[in-house]
Amino acid sequence: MTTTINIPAVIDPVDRPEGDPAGSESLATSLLSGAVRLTEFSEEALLLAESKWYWAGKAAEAYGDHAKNFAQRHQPMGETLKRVARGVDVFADQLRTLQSDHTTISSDITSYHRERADLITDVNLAGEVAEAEIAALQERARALTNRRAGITTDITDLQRRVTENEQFLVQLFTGADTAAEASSPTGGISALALGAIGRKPSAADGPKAMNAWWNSLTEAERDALIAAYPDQLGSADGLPASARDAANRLRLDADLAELEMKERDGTLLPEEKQRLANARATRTALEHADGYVVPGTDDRPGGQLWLYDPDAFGGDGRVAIAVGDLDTADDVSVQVPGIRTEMDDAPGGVDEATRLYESARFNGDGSSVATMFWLGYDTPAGDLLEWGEVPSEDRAADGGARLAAAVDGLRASRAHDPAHMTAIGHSYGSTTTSYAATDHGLAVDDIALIGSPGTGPADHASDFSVGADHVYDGRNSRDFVAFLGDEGWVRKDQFFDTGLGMDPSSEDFGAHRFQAESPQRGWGPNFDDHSRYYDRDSESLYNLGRIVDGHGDDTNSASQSYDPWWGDPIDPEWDRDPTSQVPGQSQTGLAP
Amino acid sequence: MGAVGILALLLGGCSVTPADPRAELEARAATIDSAAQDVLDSLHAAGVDEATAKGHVDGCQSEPAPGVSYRAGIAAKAGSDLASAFDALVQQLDASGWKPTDAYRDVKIDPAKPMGRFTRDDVTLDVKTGGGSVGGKWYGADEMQLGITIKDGCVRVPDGGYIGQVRDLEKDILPRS
Repeated sequence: MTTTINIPAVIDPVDRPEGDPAGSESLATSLLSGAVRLTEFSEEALLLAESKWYWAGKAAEAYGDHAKNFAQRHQPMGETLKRVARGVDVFADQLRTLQSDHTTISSDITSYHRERADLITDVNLAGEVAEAEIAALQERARALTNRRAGITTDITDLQRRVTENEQFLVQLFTGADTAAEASSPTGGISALALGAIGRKPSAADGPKAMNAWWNSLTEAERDALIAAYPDQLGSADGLPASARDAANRLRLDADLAELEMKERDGTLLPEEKQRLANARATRTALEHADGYVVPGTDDRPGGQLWLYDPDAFGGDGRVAIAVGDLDTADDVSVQVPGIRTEMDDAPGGVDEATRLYESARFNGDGSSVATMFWLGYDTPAGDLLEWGEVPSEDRAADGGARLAAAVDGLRASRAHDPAHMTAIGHSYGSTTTSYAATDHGLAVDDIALIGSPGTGPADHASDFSVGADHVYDGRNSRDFVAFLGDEGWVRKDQFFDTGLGMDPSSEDFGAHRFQAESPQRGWGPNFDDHSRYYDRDSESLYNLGRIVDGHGDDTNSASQSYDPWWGDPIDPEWDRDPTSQVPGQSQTGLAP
Repeated sequence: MGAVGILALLLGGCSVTPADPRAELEARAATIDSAAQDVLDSLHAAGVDEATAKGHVDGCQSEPAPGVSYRAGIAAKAGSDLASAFDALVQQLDASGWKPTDAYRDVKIDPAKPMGRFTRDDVTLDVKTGGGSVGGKWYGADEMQLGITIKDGCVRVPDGGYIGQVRDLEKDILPRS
């Protein structure tokens, strides 16, 4: 009897996407330089247009008007050229991805042909063979056919994306190749982007609507949008973190290129100095995140620039940087910093995020993790450290609304793949987190407060959106700031106007208190111990890692403080010997 | 809490940023590097030759009172009999002045993967064996991992990303001979 084994056909090789990503990036840099020159030109013309004490009269007026017109004509040209430069950058990024995908597909084709040749050899060698062997050969042929179908789909997809990317570049240049287009407010914006942005919901429609809109776009539309409107997309709640990251990196690169060039030229405006400082701090922080490797391992989670808004809050700025992938991580944490934290503190905040990441992974269950330093609110700038001045709760109330909105955005961006989420509020950030959880339904699974001066509007852990059983508190017994919260029958803010609400470590509040002492702790209350919660190999970081990993029920408990009627509050942790690097208690990583 | 309590709080002290934080950190790093070289000698004498040591700069205290610290880590291939290698090392450490502590008295220690903490002057040495799991992947199953820190190792630094200015102190620590 003759048995037929259907062997699938060969696959033709695929052309490598043409182009040089590095060359394209170099072109983008050149275009950006030109754009900056135009901007400088325009700004200089505006300065010249101002009236001078030494020159008055009709000629001076005519000169001023001419200079002003000149500035107004060149300013939009500069903006158009910046958009084109950003677009070329996006094209280069996409080209690099496409070439990498081409390499993968080519390798798949080679492997497919090898297996196909093996199968042909085995079929030709088979003479009178048992039915089981025939079945095995047929099964191999079926698997190979499926494999071929998969590779063919990948090839079709790659070719479509290559065409879209090339069309994107063509549209980019043809949209800005006449003087009229270059001077237009939409110069350099592709038709794809213009069409897609017209359908973008407003922020008021909520992050779910934003996410639905984004999911309705083609890859080419998304690329075009990121190039044309990075400022709108970089802070759009509901968008995937990868899209926000791409938009924000583009903005950051453009800011650095432009402002550093102006600094070199001596044309940096006074109001741009803070912006440049904020951009540089963000660059440093992002480098920390991108380059981080968990000590003693090959685990390199990478960074994401989730929020970059260097002009917010009168120049204080907003920034959020994640370690790990916010789009896919099983466990996601959001760290909310406290008083006097500004963008220049972002590198330190990211370092905390790396240590938290390490702790969650080292003591974790193998789940993937992303930890994000979130400076998305206007922290108060009081002299708490110098004078014990406690700020009002206004910033916490505003920050609470912003934090809840940010978390809603993260949730909406992966509605079908929800992460276990933890919010960690440190210092004044714990008050901010309390506002988010009490007044705005903060949509996380667990909340940890560390070094808290008070829980704002919440009198009890059960007031929090997550329920009392998912509220955790870490308090170093020597932490001065943590003394400021209320407990017992005499409330400090009634008598001394200190504190920002209840002390979450107290038995009155009803949260789970975890161990957070440090072997370096001081003899009495001090501010250094207020800053030790993220120290490597500390009790606090160990317990925070457990909570982030979704095992808050397995933290090392500490007895709550209490306030007897006959005297001052008593903290049972005061006399316990602190530990460091002890497995299961305070070891948070391998020795490097 | 009464007024006395508030006064007591305000009396508490805290460290200040030194005039030259880098110099402070360098002094601590020199002590730690020297101790690490001593430990490399002890490992060699204990028959554990394949060891690498690195000095790391790390953030310690976070904002609003940031600090940086320096610590050394040693990874040493100790083979499958970690307990014997550990015992041999303990003898050598004792000979060079390291005193054991009871830091891990409450930890249930696997006899096949012993660990211990030792001190000498202001320096602390932690010795752990058998590696550990990070993200579900096991690292260093046949290794001894040693961490070296110093008392009061956290140096207060100015606000705003100072750590980048001392990263260059990170290095491979080489044996003396």
